[in-house]
Amino acid sequence: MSTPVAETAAVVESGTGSSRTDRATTLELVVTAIDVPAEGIRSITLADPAGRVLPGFVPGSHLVVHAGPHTNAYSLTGDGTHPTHYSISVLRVEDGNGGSRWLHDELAVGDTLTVGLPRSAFAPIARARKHLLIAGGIGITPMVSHLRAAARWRRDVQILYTFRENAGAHLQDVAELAGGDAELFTEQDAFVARLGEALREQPIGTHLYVCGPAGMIDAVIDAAHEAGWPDSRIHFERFGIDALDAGDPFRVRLTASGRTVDVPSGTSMLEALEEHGIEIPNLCRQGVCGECRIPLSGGSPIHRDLYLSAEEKDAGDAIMPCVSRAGEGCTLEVPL
Amino acid sequence: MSQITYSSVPAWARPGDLAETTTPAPTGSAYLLVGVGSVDEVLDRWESDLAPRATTRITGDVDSAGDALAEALSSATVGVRVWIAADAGAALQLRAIALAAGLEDDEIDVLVAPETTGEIDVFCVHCRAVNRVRAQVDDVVACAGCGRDLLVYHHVSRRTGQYLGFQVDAETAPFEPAPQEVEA
Repeated sequence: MSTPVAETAAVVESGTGSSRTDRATTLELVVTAIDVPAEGIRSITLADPAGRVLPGFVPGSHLVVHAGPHTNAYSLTGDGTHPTHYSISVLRVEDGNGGSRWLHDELAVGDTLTVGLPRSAFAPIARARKHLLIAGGIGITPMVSHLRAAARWRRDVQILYTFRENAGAHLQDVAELAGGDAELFTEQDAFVARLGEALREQPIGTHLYVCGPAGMIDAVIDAAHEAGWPDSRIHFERFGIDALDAGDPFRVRLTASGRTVDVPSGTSMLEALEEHGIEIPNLCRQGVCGECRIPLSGGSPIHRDLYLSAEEKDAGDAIMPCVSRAGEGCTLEVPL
Repeated sequence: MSQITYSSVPAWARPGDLAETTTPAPTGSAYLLVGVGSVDEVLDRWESDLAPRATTRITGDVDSAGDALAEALSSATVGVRVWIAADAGAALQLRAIALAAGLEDDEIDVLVAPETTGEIDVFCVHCRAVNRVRAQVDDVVACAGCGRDLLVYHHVSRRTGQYLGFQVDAETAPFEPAPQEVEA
């Protein structure tokens, strides 16, 4: 079967490595619907202007959206199979970088939006016996994708969803897709108690998925460790990035060009390199999208991104300069 | 053989590698301690280190211990750990049973007891017979199924715990027609 699939435009940025030009791709999509499922949440539906099928994606994938002058990543809520549209649900964050405010205040049906290709960083495990999904607040969005895929492929799934009273999103989707396997909480104590139970009654082969505010994710991971869960079964996705501290001043040695760049406190490594005329392809500038990844040949980085895996961070041979740094007075070596 | 580091043979099953002697990190909520051979001392030590926690001891030969392990895992919940003290061949079999039950690598720890039998299972790629033999990687063993001389290759199946064996001299051996079935 052959189906026309929406074409991607190669983004060619001058002054960057040639290997990037044929990889970076974006889609120009038209906004076909905007809904407000709960206060402060906008569900935006995007489609190809010519009505072609969009590139498929793995459940739990996110979309990098160019929201006016800002770039943010949002979870896709579809199941990713043969999609005719992409749907994202955006929580309005008053003190964020402005991307969500732009999507709430400026974007209208009929507008064109530039997005990246879907990226998978929160995929189901094909051989898992069961998926246990834990969502907090707007962290429900990737879980809706997981629930749709679980329903399509008849995978065993269970979800605990905690949210503030009247602020739950996708409640109807959750009820329809998970039925009796969904439990909703608006009281934190009840959620914490049930979470502790649920973590102790899962058959071997269950994998745990967590998405929500940083504090909630940390609490769930702690509770899972407490219940004896190994790291290999714990998968989490942080949305947005918590405000990072300014960091200590450090130094970057560019081994190929023999230059040294000082990175003061409050300036990112990416900004410091740009000030010295070193262009690094980048998009979100908040440690989410992975675009600005550069190799590291020496030094001990302090990784603060949400992109590199734990193994990649331990290996210490790559860094996301938009958010990651080094300790006070330390030097990082980069082969640029 | 130099490629064994990058092979499917786990570090604890490689010849010459030092056996782990420390107690694994007790991060689980329940422990199945599986022993094959004279490993009571190891199991005693593990049990005393885990005193207040839920431990179950499973011992026997590789087949009976394997059956008991599969039975125990069929009703276990996430949080369980499987700690294996056995010779490398038996440990590979027991690991395969744990993996089949859904365990991940970081839920399984293996301590290879040095003084045990050294029997491994070798799967013949030619006739599919499984040979339980006293051998290690790079040895040549005769296949009980087809009589070919099998090289024990540095590949071991996670699913079955068996080493892959193939005819050692397929390129140089003089051609011999396969034995014909003769009707009496």
